[in-house]
Amino acid sequence: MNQTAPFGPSRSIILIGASTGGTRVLAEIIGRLPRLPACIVIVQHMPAFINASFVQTLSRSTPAEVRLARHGDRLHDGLILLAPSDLHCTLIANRSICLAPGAAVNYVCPSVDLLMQSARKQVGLQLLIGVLLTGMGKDGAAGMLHIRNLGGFTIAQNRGSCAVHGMPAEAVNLGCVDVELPPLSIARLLEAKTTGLQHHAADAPAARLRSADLAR
Amino acid sequence: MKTVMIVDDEPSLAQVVSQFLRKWNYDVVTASNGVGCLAHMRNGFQGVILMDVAMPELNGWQTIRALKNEDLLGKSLVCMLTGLEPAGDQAGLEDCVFDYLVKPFRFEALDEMVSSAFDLLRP
Repeated sequence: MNQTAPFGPSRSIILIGASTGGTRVLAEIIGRLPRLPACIVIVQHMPAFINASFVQTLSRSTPAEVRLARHGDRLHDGLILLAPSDLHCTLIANRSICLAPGAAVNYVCPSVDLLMQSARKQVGLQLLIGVLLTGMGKDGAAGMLHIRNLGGFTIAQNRGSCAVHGMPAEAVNLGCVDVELPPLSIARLLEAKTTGLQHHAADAPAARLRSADLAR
Repeated sequence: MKTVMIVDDEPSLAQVVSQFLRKWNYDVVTASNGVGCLAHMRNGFQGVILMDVAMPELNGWQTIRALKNEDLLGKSLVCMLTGLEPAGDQAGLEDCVFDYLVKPFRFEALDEMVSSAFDLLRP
């Protein structure tokens, strides 16, 4: 994989969902990551008036390009896209972003479930990772199940580090979570998975790693 | 000036939290329940709201629902500061609660939560 090509399609896609307490956790995770050979798309439930300041906060902490997603954006390595509030954000053929107004799903718009459920099994996609962080309700749980059913890898924030464990707990209850980790370990694991490093975050006491293989 | 509203029916806790917030250079206003909170919001409050859940008249979830329905949240962020974890009565408010801290809490955690909220409220 060419890790330096700025506009080639990403072969590794990381989809992250978060709600209550999520902005601090995302800042911690993104701030620990180098520019990854992957594209990250984030749905964080939040009011629209903090969209821009949150993008700035994330941008300050990472060498990656961070910006608010726009309709038609192409996914490429080293890019981190944040879904704007009040529009559903989905992937088109794993290659580009679709933003569209729509009814709330799980009481929210954008919905983590819709984003994750738009991922497709596709030739050339080497790595698909779903990450579900702190938040009330159940948004994202069905999306994590979808990613797991596609053969992707799923990470839930562990209970002890969540402001609210509702969303990750729903995914765990569906039996579709490969590993539960605190934020720092999530960052380490994302780096290891996407850069092909052999070490991973199994040093975290709360880790429940299964023999899930990203390439399966 | 950065202003924090404490909505809590326990005067002793509200007082201690107020002292710390003022020490950290925040302005503080208080309300002993959701009715008081709504009054502050109707008077144009903007800032961070620290909301308890179990309160007389209007509890925390009922208050947030009223703020949402009346479109009073404006450019304020709600952080729950409560002894109760979400128990299902918050359905539909998932995108209205910015952060959550369960009592008892460390004041460092409170500082981190409030400063993080104000970091995103910057103009």
